[in-house]
This record gives sequence, C-alpha cells and structure tokens, in this order.
Amino acid sequence: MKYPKLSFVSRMRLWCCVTLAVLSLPTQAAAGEMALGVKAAFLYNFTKFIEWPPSAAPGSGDTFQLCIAGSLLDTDAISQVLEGKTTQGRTLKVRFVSQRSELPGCHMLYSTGEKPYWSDEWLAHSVRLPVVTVGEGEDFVEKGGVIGLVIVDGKVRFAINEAKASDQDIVISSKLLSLARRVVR
Amino acid sequence: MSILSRLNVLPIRHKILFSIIGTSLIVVVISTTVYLAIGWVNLKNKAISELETTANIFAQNISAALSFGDAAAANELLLSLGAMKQIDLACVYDEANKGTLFASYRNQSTNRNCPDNVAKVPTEQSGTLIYGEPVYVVSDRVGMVYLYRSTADLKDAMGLSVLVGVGMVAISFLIAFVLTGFFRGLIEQPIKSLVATTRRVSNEGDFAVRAEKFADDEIGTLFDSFNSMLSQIQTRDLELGRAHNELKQQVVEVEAANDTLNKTLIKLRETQEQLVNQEKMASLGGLVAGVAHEINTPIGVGVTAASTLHAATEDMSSAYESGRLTDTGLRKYVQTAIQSASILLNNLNRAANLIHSFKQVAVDQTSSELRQFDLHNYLEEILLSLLPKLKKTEISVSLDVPENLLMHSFPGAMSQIVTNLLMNSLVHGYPETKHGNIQIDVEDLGEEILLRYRDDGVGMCKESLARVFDPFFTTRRGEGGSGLGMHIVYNLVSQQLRGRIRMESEPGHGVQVFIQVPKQVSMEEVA
Repeated sequence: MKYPKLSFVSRMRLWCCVTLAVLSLPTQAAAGEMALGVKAAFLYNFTKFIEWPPSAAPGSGDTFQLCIAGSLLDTDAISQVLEGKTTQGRTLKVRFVSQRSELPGCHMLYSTGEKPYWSDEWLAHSVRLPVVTVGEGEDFVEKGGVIGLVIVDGKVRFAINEAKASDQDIVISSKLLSLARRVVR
Repeated sequence: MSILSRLNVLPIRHKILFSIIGTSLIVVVISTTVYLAIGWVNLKNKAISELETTANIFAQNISAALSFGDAAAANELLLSLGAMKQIDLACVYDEANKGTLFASYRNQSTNRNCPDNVAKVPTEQSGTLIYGEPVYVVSDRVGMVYLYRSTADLKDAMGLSVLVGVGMVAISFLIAFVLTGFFRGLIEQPIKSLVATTRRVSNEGDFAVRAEKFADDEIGTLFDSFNSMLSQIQTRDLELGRAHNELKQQVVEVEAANDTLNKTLIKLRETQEQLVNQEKMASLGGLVAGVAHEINTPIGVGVTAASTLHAATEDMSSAYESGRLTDTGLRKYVQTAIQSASILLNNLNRAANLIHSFKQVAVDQTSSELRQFDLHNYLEEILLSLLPKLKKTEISVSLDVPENLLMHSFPGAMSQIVTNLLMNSLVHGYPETKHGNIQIDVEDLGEEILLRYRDDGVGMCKESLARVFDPFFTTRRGEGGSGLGMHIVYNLVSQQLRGRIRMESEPGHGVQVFIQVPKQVSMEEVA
C-alpha cells in the first residue's frame, strides 16, 4: 500500500484524534463533553512531564491535587475521566475550587475561563505558588498562566510560559516544550 | 593415502614449495577469516549498539508526542533520522490504540513501509537489523519504536576488509614463493650435491671423495655423518685389502707347508715300508739263526758217528795188514760200522728234513708267491721252524687243523702271521713265567677258513687293545720291539689275504685272535 506523503500524514492525524477520543471517553459522550474529555486527557498527560518542588500542595499526602475553577458539571466530567488515575506515584484527585485560599493545596489549576468561576485574580494569587495554571486560549500565557490550550485545525494544542513556570519553581520537561505551539521564555 | 603417496614422489623443491606456501596460506587464510569474522561481529555489535542508543533517544523524545497523540510532532521528530543514512525505517506504535502505527519515517532509498500494527513487525529480516524500544512516559508504557537499519554499509565496509584479506593472502603467497626460492637453495642445493657425491662414490667406488658441507644445520650433520661413514668405509676397505693380501700370503704359505708335509708323508711312507721290510728281514734273520742252531745238532751227531766209523775202520785196517784181524774183531767193527752208518743216516735225514722245511718257510716269507698248499702241513712246518725259540721256554703249542685243507693263497703271508702272533705271545704274553699253552684252531667254513689263535698269557689292557694294530705302537720300545709286528699282521690279513682280523683280550685272561680269510685268492684280486 502506497500513499502520497501528505495524504499519509493527514490520515495519521485523523487517526490520532480518534485514538485520543477513544482513550478519553470510553463511554461515548456528547461532542461538547468530548472536547472537555480531550482536555482532561491533556491535563493528565501534562502531569507526567512536569516536576513540582517538594513544597507543592502541602498536606496533600500521596494524592495529586487537580483543582478545577469551573462549573461542577465540568468538574464532574473531568473527574469521571481522571479520578483514581495515578501520576508520579500519586493518586489523582479532582477537586472543585472557588476560594483563592484553596490555591496553595493544588498542584494544578484548570479553568475553562467560564465566569464566575474564573477570574484573572487566580493568576495573581498563583504568582509565587508552585501551581501549574492551565487555561483556555493562547493569551492565557500572556496573562501569567503557565499553559494555554488552543484548538488548531480541530485539534488541541498548547502554549507554555516557561519563564512563569520557573518563577513558580516548576520544571517543565523539554519533551513537553518541544510539543508546544509557542513557548514564552 | 593416495595424496600422501603422490606427495612422496615429488621433488624436494616442490615439497618445500608446497609446505611453505601451504602453511603460510593456511595461516593467513585462517587468521584473515578470524579477523574478518571478528570485524564483522564488532561492526554488527557497534551498529546494534548505535541502533539501541538511537532507538532509546527517540523513544524518550517521542514519548510526549505519543502521549499527547501529536502524530505531526512525532513525524517531525522522526525526520531528524534523515541524518542517519543507514536507517531505512522508523515505526512508532501506539500502545493505547492497540498497537497501531502512530508515526513513521522512511528513507528515500528504501521502498519498504512500516507494518500497520506492532504485531506484524518482523523480528528478523535479512540485510536489515531491526531493533524495538518501548516508549515510556514516567513508568507507563505508551508505545514502541522500531528502527530498521540496513546492513548494506556494514557489508560495504566488510567488502573492503575482505579485499584487504585477499590482498594479504596474495602477498603472503608471493612472499612464500620468494622465500621458497631462498630456502630451496639452502636445502635443495646441499642435498643435490650430496646425491651427486653418492653417485660418484657408487659409480667410481672412490671412497676418498668427501661431500662439501654447506651449513651447520641437520643437513650439515648429515654431511658430516656421510663423510665419516665414507672414511669408515675407506678404512675398512683398506683393512679388507690388507687382510685379503695377508690371506693370500697365508694361502701361499699353507700351500708350501702342505707341499712339505706331503713330501714328509711320502718319506714317512717310504721309511715305514723300509721298516716293514727290515722287520721282515729281521724275522728271517731270526729264522736263519734258529735253523743254524737246529741243524747243528744232527750234523754234530753225524760228525761224531762219522769220526767213530773212521777210527774203527782205521783200527780194523791196521789189524788186517798186520794179520792180527780176528774174527771177533771183524764182527765188532761191522757192528760199529752199521751203527755209525745208521746214526749218520738218521741225523743227515733229520738235517735234510729241517733244511727242507726252513727253506720252504724262508722262501715263502721272502716271496709273495701265490700257490696251493695244505694248511695242516704248512702250519706244522711253521711250528717246526719256530721250535728253537719255543724250546727255551715251557710253552706248549697245540695245533688243531683239519687234514687235507687245501688253500690257494699266499703261504708266506700265513707263515709271517703265525710267526708274528707266536713271537708276540712269547715276548709279551709270558714275560716272567715262560710257561703256558698256546692253541691254534682252524675251522673250515666252506669258502673261508676261520683261524682262532689263543694264548693264556697276561692279556692286554683296553687302551693297548684299541691301538694294537697301529703302526709303531709298542709297550716294549727300547727292548727290541719295533711296534710293527701286529701292524704287519693286520696289513697281511686285510690286504694280501683279503680277510678280516679281530682281537679280544682282557688283562690276566690271555689273548684271542680271530682271522677269517678266503681259501681261494685270485691274482686279479690281489692286483
């Protein structure tokens, strides 16, 4: 079987989307939730390429605290995908957060950017905390977030603010950086 | 076996050639092969280890792309493999998606494609090294990276090595060839010269030739040994020649000695013959002395009777002249005359008889006349002739011979035999006592007669008996014994009379002699 190179690659990409979709949502969820499921898988994958300092999320024990500043619906959807998975030897816990004071107990903070759950003040609070903030849109990293998710050609991609991450004592693997659309250094 | 025998007939230079070239070729081929094999294994191991390292690096680098499902990024990452020309294919499989192909890279030079599932990846493929490395994200296995590496470049590199190896073989062949030429000179030359020397020695038989030594090695030793062998042969040759000459000289000497011995033997035989003749004459002399003595008595009696008759006749004559012859006186004279004449006649007869006998014996003894004779009468005549000797002793001789036993033989020999036997008995058998009995029996056996002579003297010891017929054997040398008596007896019996003689004796029991001879001896037989 011989394909022209371009057609082969695009075919591959299509296949990968299907792969990720199956991986993320084995329960055949709706299209809107599918996008969220994909993002949840991304969140999980991010945790594998990021190193937190030992001071991160004190009192979390052997759990990994994934905090969601979003609707409970979204939180549940993400929790359904990720709850109970393990990363970096820790059991992943998906947690809804609404108070800024809850931020220090989180390893990662995700928000769809939906109001009133999200405001840019979260970013101001996270300036000195080893919390990886993940948000929507490329401008998220400009505003002080660490990873910003974007949709390109129907696929989830991301940008990384490495300078902000290192300010927050967070080390992001070069493998992750190499996948990023844009890296702010 | 046939290869060995075929090798055996090769000239030495070919053997040397084969051994040197064969050895060097084998060594070079083996070492080159080993070197190439090791080179190949090293090259392959190095390639494998490189491949492992590359696969490892790519597995790590691609882990993020795989986990984020970013096939474009993965493909882009794999494009950097273009720098490694020998990598034909790189295939990344997504474990989470049942091992389907996730990303791939293909070198332009190959027309192969990645299998669409990890399960279809071959573990081995000729001309290609395949290495798979699992992709881990932290401790989660998310996929596999397979690298296909062509071994064409390795083979090219090996091709060069093989070329070098073949070159080495060729060069070593050349060196071996050149060396062979050199060694051939060193080994073949001396052997050729040795062979030439051997030929010269065997053709000309000249052992003074020496092989010229070339070197101090084993061949040199061979030359030394050969030369020393030659000198030994030469020495031995000379010794042999000398011994041969000596032997020749000795043969000449021996021949001369043999000549002398022969002459001496002839002289000895002549002397022996003379002695035998002398002995015969001596016995004849004894016979004559006996005869003279024997005849003396009747002649003396005759002389006395004749002189008595003469005196009586003179007395009677003077009485008759004077007329005083009486009747009584005449009668007395006649009586005396008759008596004297009778005595005279008797004694003269007796003398004549004696002389007749002696004459016959003496003639027989000195001649070897073949004639007919009566053995009984002849033996009596012999005894009569020996009477004078026997008279001095108290030895009685008795004869027991059949009468009218006629023989046609040599009576002289018979006479000499009996005389010698009797004389031996008298001299040796009765040395002190001088009395005893001698018995001579003759038995008629038809064609032959058996004469048995017996005495009851002292006998003989075994040693003497064994040598009794030997010439000059005597126990009485210096007392008149010549040692020829019994020898003459033996010769006469066996040669002249064509018979056999045997003697038996024991000390103290006398002697017995058995003589068996034919009655008729023809002149032809004797001759």
